[in-house]
Amino acid sequence: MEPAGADDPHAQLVRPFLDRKRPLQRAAVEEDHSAAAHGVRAYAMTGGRAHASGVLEFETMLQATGAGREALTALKFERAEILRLCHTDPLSVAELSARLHVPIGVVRVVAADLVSEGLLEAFQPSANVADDVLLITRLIAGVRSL
Amino acid sequence: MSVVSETPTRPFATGPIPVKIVIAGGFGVGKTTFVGALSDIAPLTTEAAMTSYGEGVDDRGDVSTKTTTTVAMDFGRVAVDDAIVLYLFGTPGQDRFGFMWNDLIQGALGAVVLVDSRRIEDSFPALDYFESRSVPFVVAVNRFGGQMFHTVDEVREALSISAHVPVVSTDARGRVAVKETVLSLLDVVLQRALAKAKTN
Repeated sequence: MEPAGADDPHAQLVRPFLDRKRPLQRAAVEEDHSAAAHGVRAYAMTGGRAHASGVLEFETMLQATGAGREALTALKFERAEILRLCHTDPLSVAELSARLHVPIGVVRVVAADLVSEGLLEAFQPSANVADDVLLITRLIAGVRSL
Repeated sequence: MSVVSETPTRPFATGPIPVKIVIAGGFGVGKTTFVGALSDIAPLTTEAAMTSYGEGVDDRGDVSTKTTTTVAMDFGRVAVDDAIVLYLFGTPGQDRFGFMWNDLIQGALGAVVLVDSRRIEDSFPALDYFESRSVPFVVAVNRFGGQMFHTVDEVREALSISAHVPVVSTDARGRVAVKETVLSLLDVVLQRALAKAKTN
Protein backbone atom coordinates (compact mmCIF):
# COMPACT_ATOMS: atom_id res chain seq x y z
CA MET A 1 0.00 0.00 0.00
CA GLU A 2 1.36 3.34 -0.99
CA PRO A 3 1.16 5.80 1.88
CA ALA A 4 -0.54 8.56 -0.01
CA GLY A 5 -0.84 11.58 2.19
CA ALA A 6 2.53 11.22 3.85
CA ASP A 7 3.26 14.74 2.68
CA ASP A 8 -0.14 15.97 3.68
CA PRO A 9 -0.01 18.65 6.38
CA HIS A 10 -2.77 16.79 8.18
CA ALA A 11 -0.61 13.73 8.49
CA GLN A 12 0.97 15.14 11.61
CA LEU A 13 -2.40 15.55 13.23
CA VAL A 14 -3.80 12.11 12.78
CA ARG A 15 -2.10 10.24 15.57
CA PRO A 16 -0.55 12.76 17.84
CA PHE A 17 0.90 10.32 20.32
CA LEU A 18 2.71 8.06 17.93
CA ASP A 19 6.34 8.85 17.42
CA ARG A 20 6.40 8.07 13.77
CA LYS A 21 4.52 9.41 10.83
CA ARG A 22 1.86 6.89 10.23
CA PRO A 23 1.56 5.90 6.60
CA LEU A 24 -1.74 7.59 6.09
CA GLN A 25 -4.30 5.90 4.00
CA ARG A 26 -5.87 7.94 1.30
CA ALA A 27 -9.43 7.53 2.46
CA ALA A 28 -8.64 8.49 5.97
CA VAL A 29 -7.43 11.91 4.92
CA GLU A 30 -10.23 12.55 2.50
CA GLU A 31 -12.72 11.62 5.08
CA ASP A 32 -11.32 14.13 7.47
CA HIS A 33 -12.44 16.86 5.12
CA SER A 34 -15.71 15.37 4.00
CA ALA A 35 -17.17 14.21 7.26
CA ALA A 36 -18.68 17.55 8.16
CA ALA A 37 -20.06 18.09 4.68
CA HIS A 38 -21.78 14.73 4.68
CA GLY A 39 -22.93 15.18 8.22
CA VAL A 40 -21.82 11.67 9.05
CA ARG A 41 -23.22 10.87 12.42
CA ALA A 42 -20.56 8.31 13.24
CA TYR A 43 -18.10 11.05 13.92
CA ALA A 44 -20.06 12.14 16.90
CA MET A 45 -19.20 8.75 18.32
CA THR A 46 -15.48 9.00 18.17
CA GLY A 47 -15.48 11.33 21.14
CA GLY A 48 -12.22 13.13 21.57
CA ARG A 49 -10.65 11.51 18.57
CA ALA A 50 -11.43 14.46 16.35
CA HIS A 51 -8.29 14.54 14.29
CA ALA A 52 -8.14 10.81 13.87
CA SER A 53 -11.78 10.61 12.94
CA GLY A 54 -10.98 9.12 9.58
CA VAL A 55 -8.98 6.26 11.00
CA LEU A 56 -10.88 3.12 11.78
CA GLU A 57 -9.25 0.98 14.43
CA PHE A 58 -8.99 -2.78 14.20
CA GLU A 59 -11.83 -3.09 16.72
CA THR A 60 -14.05 -0.34 15.29
CA MET A 61 -17.47 -1.87 14.71
CA LEU A 62 -19.41 -1.12 11.56
CA GLN A 63 -23.02 -1.44 10.66
CA ALA A 64 -24.89 -0.64 7.46
CA THR A 65 -27.09 2.43 7.61
CA GLY A 66 -30.48 2.60 5.92
CA ALA A 67 -28.82 4.30 2.98
CA GLY A 68 -26.18 1.58 2.97
CA ARG A 69 -28.78 -1.16 2.75
CA GLU A 70 -30.49 0.65 -0.11
CA ALA A 71 -27.22 1.17 -1.96
CA LEU A 72 -26.18 -2.45 -1.65
CA THR A 73 -27.27 -3.63 -5.09
CA ALA A 74 -25.46 -0.77 -6.78
CA LEU A 75 -22.13 -1.57 -5.18
CA LYS A 76 -19.43 -4.00 -6.20
CA PHE A 77 -16.55 -6.01 -4.83
CA GLU A 78 -15.28 -5.22 -1.36
CA ARG A 79 -17.68 -2.35 -0.91
CA ALA A 80 -20.66 -4.61 -1.43
CA GLU A 81 -19.19 -7.47 0.58
CA ILE A 82 -18.47 -5.27 3.57
CA LEU A 83 -21.94 -3.77 3.52
CA ARG A 84 -23.51 -7.19 3.17
CA LEU A 85 -21.64 -8.59 6.17
CA CYS A 86 -22.59 -5.56 8.27
CA HIS A 87 -26.18 -5.67 7.08
CA THR A 88 -27.81 -6.62 10.35
CA ASP A 89 -25.24 -6.98 13.10
CA PRO A 90 -22.24 -4.75 13.59
CA LEU A 91 -18.86 -6.31 12.87
CA SER A 92 -15.38 -5.04 13.59
CA VAL A 93 -12.83 -4.08 10.97
CA ALA A 94 -10.75 -7.08 12.05
CA GLU A 95 -13.68 -9.48 11.68
CA LEU A 96 -14.45 -8.14 8.22
CA SER A 97 -10.83 -8.64 7.26
CA ALA A 98 -10.85 -12.22 8.53
CA ARG A 99 -14.16 -13.15 6.96
CA LEU A 100 -13.42 -11.60 3.58
CA HIS A 101 -9.77 -12.74 3.53
CA VAL A 102 -8.84 -9.18 2.73
CA PRO A 103 -5.88 -7.50 4.46
CA ILE A 104 -6.98 -5.32 7.31
CA GLY A 105 -5.48 -2.20 5.73
CA VAL A 106 -7.74 -2.62 2.72
CA VAL A 107 -10.81 -3.02 4.88
CA ARG A 108 -9.88 0.11 6.80
CA VAL A 109 -9.66 2.18 3.65
CA VAL A 110 -12.78 0.85 1.97
CA ALA A 111 -14.85 0.97 5.13
CA ALA A 112 -13.70 4.51 5.90
CA ASP A 113 -14.97 5.53 2.47
CA LEU A 114 -18.30 3.88 3.15
CA VAL A 115 -18.55 5.66 6.48
CA SER A 116 -17.82 9.02 4.91
CA GLU A 117 -20.49 8.33 2.30
CA GLY A 118 -23.00 7.63 5.03
CA LEU A 119 -23.45 3.98 4.05
CA LEU A 120 -21.83 2.56 7.15
CA GLU A 121 -22.02 3.67 10.73
CA ALA A 122 -18.89 3.33 12.82
CA PHE A 123 -18.78 2.63 16.53
CA GLN A 124 -15.59 3.19 18.42
CA PRO A 125 -14.90 4.48 21.90
CA SER A 126 -13.35 7.84 22.41
CA ALA A 127 -9.59 8.21 22.40
CA ASN A 128 -9.59 8.64 26.16
CA VAL A 129 -11.38 5.38 26.86
CA ALA A 130 -8.53 4.39 29.19
CA ASP A 131 -9.49 7.32 31.45
CA ASP A 132 -13.16 6.43 31.57
CA VAL A 133 -13.61 5.09 35.08
CA LEU A 134 -17.29 4.29 34.55
CA LEU A 135 -16.70 2.26 31.44
CA ILE A 136 -13.74 0.39 32.93
CA THR A 137 -15.72 -0.39 36.07
CA ARG A 138 -18.55 -1.71 33.95
CA LEU A 139 -16.11 -3.75 31.87
CA ILE A 140 -14.60 -5.31 34.99
CA ALA A 141 -18.02 -6.23 36.33
CA GLY A 142 -18.92 -7.76 32.99
CA VAL A 143 -15.74 -9.79 32.67
CA ARG A 144 -16.03 -11.00 36.26
CA SER A 145 -19.49 -12.39 35.57
CA LEU A 146 -18.50 -14.16 32.36
CA MET B 1 -14.96 19.16 11.68
CA SER B 2 -17.13 19.62 14.67
CA VAL B 3 -15.96 20.46 18.13
CA VAL B 4 -16.26 17.29 20.10
CA SER B 5 -17.52 17.09 23.63
CA GLU B 6 -15.05 16.05 26.26
CA THR B 7 -17.60 13.81 27.93
CA PRO B 8 -16.13 10.38 27.43
CA THR B 9 -17.98 7.44 25.95
CA ARG B 10 -21.54 8.43 26.75
CA PRO B 11 -22.51 9.49 23.23
CA PHE B 12 -22.92 5.93 21.99
CA ALA B 13 -25.34 4.63 24.56
CA THR B 14 -27.37 3.05 21.80
CA GLY B 15 -24.55 1.32 19.94
CA PRO B 16 -21.93 -1.31 20.64
CA ILE B 17 -18.85 -0.22 22.59
CA PRO B 18 -15.83 -2.09 21.29
CA VAL B 19 -12.78 -2.13 23.55
CA LYS B 20 -9.51 -3.88 22.97
CA ILE B 21 -6.67 -5.47 24.85
CA VAL B 22 -3.53 -6.87 23.31
CA ILE B 23 -1.98 -10.25 24.09
CA ALA B 24 1.75 -10.16 23.44
CA GLY B 25 4.65 -12.51 23.92
CA GLY B 26 7.05 -14.69 22.02
CA PHE B 27 6.26 -17.19 19.32
CA GLY B 28 4.54 -20.30 20.63
CA VAL B 29 3.91 -18.93 24.10
CA GLY B 30 0.18 -19.57 23.85
CA LYS B 31 -1.29 -16.26 22.74
CA THR B 32 -3.91 -17.75 20.46
CA THR B 33 -4.79 -20.37 23.06
CA PHE B 34 -5.19 -17.59 25.61
CA VAL B 35 -7.47 -15.64 23.27
CA GLY B 36 -9.50 -18.73 22.48
CA ALA B 37 -10.03 -19.57 26.15
CA LEU B 38 -12.17 -16.47 26.68
CA SER B 39 -13.47 -15.69 23.22
CA ASP B 40 -17.10 -16.27 22.23
CA ILE B 41 -15.92 -17.25 18.77
CA ALA B 42 -13.08 -19.49 17.65
CA PRO B 43 -10.10 -17.16 17.17
CA LEU B 44 -10.08 -15.56 13.76
CA THR B 45 -7.01 -14.78 11.74
CA THR B 46 -6.66 -11.56 9.88
CA GLU B 47 -3.93 -10.75 7.46
CA ALA B 48 -2.21 -7.45 7.38
CA ALA B 49 -0.14 -6.56 4.38
CA MET B 50 2.27 -4.17 5.91
CA THR B 51 4.61 -1.75 4.29
CA SER B 52 7.49 -1.18 6.62
CA TYR B 53 9.57 1.93 6.68
CA GLY B 54 11.61 0.74 9.57
CA GLU B 55 10.41 3.56 11.74
CA GLY B 56 9.44 3.40 15.36
CA VAL B 57 9.87 0.11 17.08
CA ASP B 58 11.42 -1.70 14.15
CA ASP B 59 14.95 -0.89 15.08
CA ARG B 60 16.82 -3.13 12.71
CA GLY B 61 19.65 -1.53 10.85
CA ASP B 62 18.59 -2.57 7.38
CA VAL B 63 15.48 -0.50 7.20
CA SER B 64 16.26 1.86 4.36
CA THR B 65 14.54 -0.36 1.86
CA LYS B 66 10.81 -0.47 1.87
CA THR B 67 9.47 -3.96 2.26
CA THR B 68 5.99 -5.36 2.14
CA THR B 69 5.25 -8.24 4.44
CA THR B 70 2.15 -10.15 5.26
CA VAL B 71 1.61 -10.92 8.91
CA ALA B 72 -1.14 -12.96 10.44
CA MET B 73 -2.82 -11.87 13.63
CA ASP B 74 -5.24 -13.90 15.70
CA PHE B 75 -8.03 -12.33 17.66
CA GLY B 76 -11.18 -13.17 19.55
CA ARG B 77 -14.31 -11.40 20.72
CA VAL B 78 -16.22 -11.45 23.99
CA ALA B 79 -19.66 -9.93 24.48
CA VAL B 80 -19.16 -8.50 27.96
CA ASP B 81 -22.63 -7.04 28.41
CA ASP B 82 -25.38 -5.71 26.18
CA ALA B 83 -23.07 -3.08 24.73
CA ILE B 84 -19.43 -3.67 25.57
CA VAL B 85 -17.58 -5.97 23.20
CA LEU B 86 -14.08 -6.91 24.28
CA TYR B 87 -11.61 -7.75 21.54
CA LEU B 88 -8.48 -9.70 22.37
CA PHE B 89 -5.73 -9.30 19.79
CA GLY B 90 -2.68 -11.49 19.74
CA THR B 91 0.41 -9.77 18.43
CA PRO B 92 2.26 -11.37 15.59
CA GLY B 93 4.90 -13.34 17.42
CA GLN B 94 8.00 -12.32 15.56
CA ASP B 95 9.45 -9.16 16.97
CA ARG B 96 10.56 -8.06 13.53
CA PHE B 97 6.91 -7.33 12.91
CA GLY B 98 6.96 -4.83 15.71
CA PHE B 99 6.22 -2.05 13.30
CA MET B 100 2.59 -3.01 13.19
CA TRP B 101 2.21 -2.88 16.95
CA ASN B 102 1.57 0.85 16.81
CA ASP B 103 -1.57 0.24 14.82
CA LEU B 104 -2.56 -2.58 17.08
CA ILE B 105 -2.01 -0.79 20.37
CA GLN B 106 -3.76 2.40 19.25
CA GLY B 107 -6.85 2.69 21.43
CA ALA B 108 -6.06 -0.45 23.43
CA LEU B 109 -6.78 -0.40 27.16
CA GLY B 110 -3.65 -2.36 27.90
CA ALA B 111 -1.72 -5.53 27.27
CA VAL B 112 -1.02 -8.95 28.71
CA VAL B 113 2.55 -10.10 28.13
CA LEU B 114 2.56 -13.89 28.12
CA VAL B 115 5.80 -15.45 29.24
CA ASP B 116 7.19 -18.96 28.89
CA SER B 117 9.54 -19.02 31.86
CA ARG B 118 11.92 -21.31 29.98
CA ARG B 119 12.31 -18.68 27.26
CA ILE B 120 11.86 -15.41 29.06
CA GLU B 121 14.00 -13.52 26.57
CA ASP B 122 11.21 -13.96 24.01
CA SER B 123 9.15 -11.45 25.97
CA PHE B 124 11.76 -8.69 25.91
CA PRO B 125 10.47 -6.95 22.76
CA ALA B 126 6.94 -6.77 24.16
CA LEU B 127 8.09 -5.54 27.58
CA ASP B 128 10.33 -2.90 26.04
CA TYR B 129 7.57 -1.76 23.75
CA PHE B 130 4.89 -1.36 26.42
CA GLU B 131 7.23 0.15 28.98
CA SER B 132 8.55 2.74 26.58
CA ARG B 133 5.04 3.80 25.62
CA SER B 134 3.55 3.69 29.10
CA VAL B 135 0.94 1.18 28.02
CA PRO B 136 -0.61 -0.51 31.08
CA PHE B 137 0.32 -4.17 31.13
CA VAL B 138 0.61 -7.25 33.28
CA VAL B 139 3.06 -10.10 32.90
CA ALA B 140 1.45 -13.54 32.89
CA VAL B 141 3.61 -16.63 33.20
CA ASN B 142 1.96 -19.43 31.31
CA ARG B 143 1.82 -22.75 33.14
CA PHE B 144 2.51 -25.28 30.45
CA GLY B 145 0.77 -28.53 31.27
CA GLY B 146 -0.06 -27.13 34.67
CA GLN B 147 3.62 -26.91 35.48
CA MET B 148 5.50 -23.84 36.66
CA PHE B 149 9.18 -24.02 35.87
CA HIS B 150 9.94 -20.86 37.82
CA THR B 151 8.08 -18.88 40.43
CA VAL B 152 6.53 -15.57 39.50
CA ASP B 153 9.07 -13.86 41.75
CA GLU B 154 11.94 -15.45 39.87
CA VAL B 155 10.41 -14.32 36.59
CA ARG B 156 9.87 -10.80 37.94
CA GLU B 157 13.48 -10.60 38.95
CA ALA B 158 14.81 -12.12 35.75
CA LEU B 159 12.81 -9.69 33.64
CA SER B 160 13.45 -6.67 35.89
CA ILE B 161 9.76 -5.92 36.10
CA SER B 162 9.04 -2.83 38.15
CA ALA B 163 7.13 -3.31 41.36
CA HIS B 164 3.92 -1.66 40.17
CA VAL B 165 3.48 -4.14 37.30
CA PRO B 166 1.66 -7.30 38.38
CA VAL B 167 3.30 -10.61 37.55
CA VAL B 168 0.78 -13.44 37.71
CA SER B 169 0.72 -17.06 36.75
CA THR B 170 -1.88 -18.18 34.27
CA ASP B 171 -3.00 -21.14 32.22
CA ALA B 172 -3.70 -20.11 28.64
CA ARG B 173 -5.95 -23.14 28.23
CA GLY B 174 -8.12 -22.36 31.21
CA ARG B 175 -11.02 -19.98 30.95
CA VAL B 176 -10.98 -19.12 34.64
CA ALA B 177 -7.24 -18.47 34.69
CA VAL B 178 -7.45 -16.35 31.56
CA LYS B 179 -10.36 -14.40 33.01
CA GLU B 180 -8.39 -13.71 36.19
CA THR B 181 -5.41 -12.55 34.14
CA VAL B 182 -7.57 -10.17 32.12
CA LEU B 183 -9.10 -8.89 35.36
CA SER B 184 -5.65 -8.23 36.80
CA LEU B 185 -4.89 -6.12 33.74
CA LEU B 186 -8.22 -4.27 33.98
CA ASP B 187 -7.48 -3.52 37.62
CA VAL B 188 -4.23 -1.84 36.58
CA VAL B 189 -6.17 0.11 33.95
CA LEU B 190 -8.77 1.15 36.54
CA GLN B 191 -6.19 2.20 39.13
CA ARG B 192 -4.48 4.33 36.55
CA ALA B 193 -7.75 5.94 35.47
CA LEU B 194 -8.68 6.64 39.09
CA ALA B 195 -5.28 8.17 39.81
CA LYS B 196 -5.57 10.37 36.77
CA ALA B 197 -9.11 11.44 37.68
CA LYS B 198 -7.86 12.45 41.11
CA THR B 199 -5.15 14.73 39.76
CA ASN B 200 -7.52 16.47 37.35
